[in-house]
Amino acid sequence: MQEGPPRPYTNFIPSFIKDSVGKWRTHKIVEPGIVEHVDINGNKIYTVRAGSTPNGRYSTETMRKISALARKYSGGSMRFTGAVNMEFIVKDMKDAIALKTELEDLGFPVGGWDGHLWSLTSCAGYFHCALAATDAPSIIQNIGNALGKYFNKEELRQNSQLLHPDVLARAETASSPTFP
Amino acid sequence: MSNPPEEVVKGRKILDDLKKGDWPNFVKEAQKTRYPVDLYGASLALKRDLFTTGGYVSVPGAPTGILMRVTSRPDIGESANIVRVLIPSGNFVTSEMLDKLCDLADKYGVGMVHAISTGEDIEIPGIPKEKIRDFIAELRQNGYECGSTGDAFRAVTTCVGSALCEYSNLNTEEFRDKFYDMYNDFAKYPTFPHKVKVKVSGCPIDCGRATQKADIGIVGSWKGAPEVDEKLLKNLNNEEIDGIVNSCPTGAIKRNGSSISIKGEDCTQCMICVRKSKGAIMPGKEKQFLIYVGGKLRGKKGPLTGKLFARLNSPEEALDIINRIVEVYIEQAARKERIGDMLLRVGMKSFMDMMKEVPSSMNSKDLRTNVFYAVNEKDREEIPRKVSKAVGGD
Repeated sequence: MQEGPPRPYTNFIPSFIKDSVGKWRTHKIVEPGIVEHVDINGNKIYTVRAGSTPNGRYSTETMRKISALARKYSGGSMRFTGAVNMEFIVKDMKDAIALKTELEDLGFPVGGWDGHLWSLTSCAGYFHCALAATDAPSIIQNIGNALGKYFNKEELRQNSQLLHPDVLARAETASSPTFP
Repeated sequence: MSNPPEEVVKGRKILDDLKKGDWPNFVKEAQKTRYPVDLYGASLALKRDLFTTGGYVSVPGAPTGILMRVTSRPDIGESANIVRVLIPSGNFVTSEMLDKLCDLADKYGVGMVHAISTGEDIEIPGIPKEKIRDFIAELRQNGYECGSTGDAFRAVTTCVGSALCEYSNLNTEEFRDKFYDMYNDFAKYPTFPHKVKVKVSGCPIDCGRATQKADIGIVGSWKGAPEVDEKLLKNLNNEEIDGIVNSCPTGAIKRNGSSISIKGEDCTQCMICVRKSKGAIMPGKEKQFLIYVGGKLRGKKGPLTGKLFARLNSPEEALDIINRIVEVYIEQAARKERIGDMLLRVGMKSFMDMMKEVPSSMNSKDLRTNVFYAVNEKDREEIPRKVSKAVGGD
C-alpha cells in the first residue's frame, strides 16, 4: 500500500485539463462566480466557485449531492480551496450556468471573485474545539446572512476578504445580526 | 429522559434563531446528522465550551491523525473524536473519494464530513473511541491515510499551481507528491520538538501563504525581469499601460512609446504588473526557487514572517535542504519550540553555520537523530559544498 496522501495528483484532476497543466496563458472573470481559463493552445475551461457553510461542515447527505454534481459536470473531480470555498472545473459555459443553478438550488451561493466578498471562514469554535473562548461559526453565520449579497450580487470597492468599513456601516443600518 | 436540562431548552431557542438567513447554514447541516446539536446549543446558552481534549489513543499504524475529544456534559451529548484524512495535492478530490468518505462517516462517525479544515485536510468527526481502530483500518484499505496532528510535518498545503494558474513557476502538486515520497515517515511519526508546517506557492503572489504561515515555505520565482509579450501588449490601451507603469513600487518599468521595458535588478517581484497586464507581462523564463524558514502565527514569541533562507535552481534541491533544516531543528530546538522561535533564540547567522556543518554522527548532540545517517566519501565532500552554496557561501 502507498503510504501518505493519495498520489499522484494527476489521478485526481479532471481528465480534460491534464494536457493543459503548466500551459495556461490567461484568465478572465466572466461573472462573480465563473472564471474562464485559456491555455496556449486556445483550450478554454471554466471554474465555478461556490461558498460553503461557515465552518465547512456538511452532512453526508449534502456531501453526496455535491459529489454527484462534480460527477455530472466536472469529470468527477472538484477542489476545496484553502479559504473553504468549493471549486468545480467545467468544459463549457453552458455547463457552468447549469451547475450554477443546481448549486444555488442546493443553497450554496456562486460568487466570490473580483470586487466581491471572497470568502467567509471560521474555526471550529464551540462546535468541536477544546479551547474555544467564544463561538466563531455563529458569528460568521450572522455575518454571512447580513452580507451574503456582497458575495455575488453587489460589489465591494476592492478585492476583500475582510470587510470594507462602508459596507459594515451600511450593514449595521440595514439589519442587525441576531447573535444572542 | 423526561425533562431536558435548562441550558438545552435555552440552547434550542438560540439554534432556531441561528437557522434563519440565506447563507449556507451549519446548524441545518448539523441537524441532518447524528452530531449532538443540543450540546452545541447548550454551550451557546452557557457561553462556555463543553468539549475538552480526551487524552491519547494507541492505534497501530496511526501515530498521528487522531484528535481525541470528550464532553464535560455526557448527559447532553456523546464525545466527538475526530480523524484527519490527508487529501491529494492541490486539494483536488474525486467523487469516488468523497462518496467513500461519506460511507465511512455514516458507518463509523455521526454522518458528518468537514471539508475542508483550515489546515487543508478532510476531517471525519464523531468517531467513538472503540471504533477508531476499525475506522482507520478501513480507511487505509481504501488507499487513504490519516495524519496531520502532533509534532510531525502537518499536511503540506499548496496553491493551485500549474494545474490551473498561468503565473505558476513551480508545479506545486508535483512538488508535494515528491515531498511525501521522501518525507512520509516524518509526516507520520511525531519526531520533531513541535509541529512543522510546510507550504508551497507557485509564484510570489503567495496564495499558499508560504512566507507567512509556514515553518518551511517554498516559493516558485524567477531571475531578473518579467517577460513582456509585445503582441499582447498591443491589446492594452494607453491608460492601462500607464497604470502598469505607475503601479510599479520601485519604478523599474519604463515606457517607450507603445512598448515598455523592465529593469531586472530593480524588480522586487511584487507581481502587480503581471496581474494588471491581462497576460502581456508574465514571470520570467529563468526560474529560481526560494526557501523561507521560521514563519508562524502562534507560539511562544508571537507571529513571525518567514525569512528568506536560500535561492535554488531546482525544486529537487529544496527537498534536500528540507532534510538538513529538520535535522538542525531536531538537534537544536527546545521542546515545543517552533523553528521561528528557535531562530530568534540562536540567531540567523549561527543557524546558517549549523546548516553548513558536516553531517556526521560524531558531531550530533543527540545520537538518536543521526546514528543511521550513512555518508559515503562522495557525499562527505558534496553535501557541505551544496549546502554552503545554497545558503550564500562560496
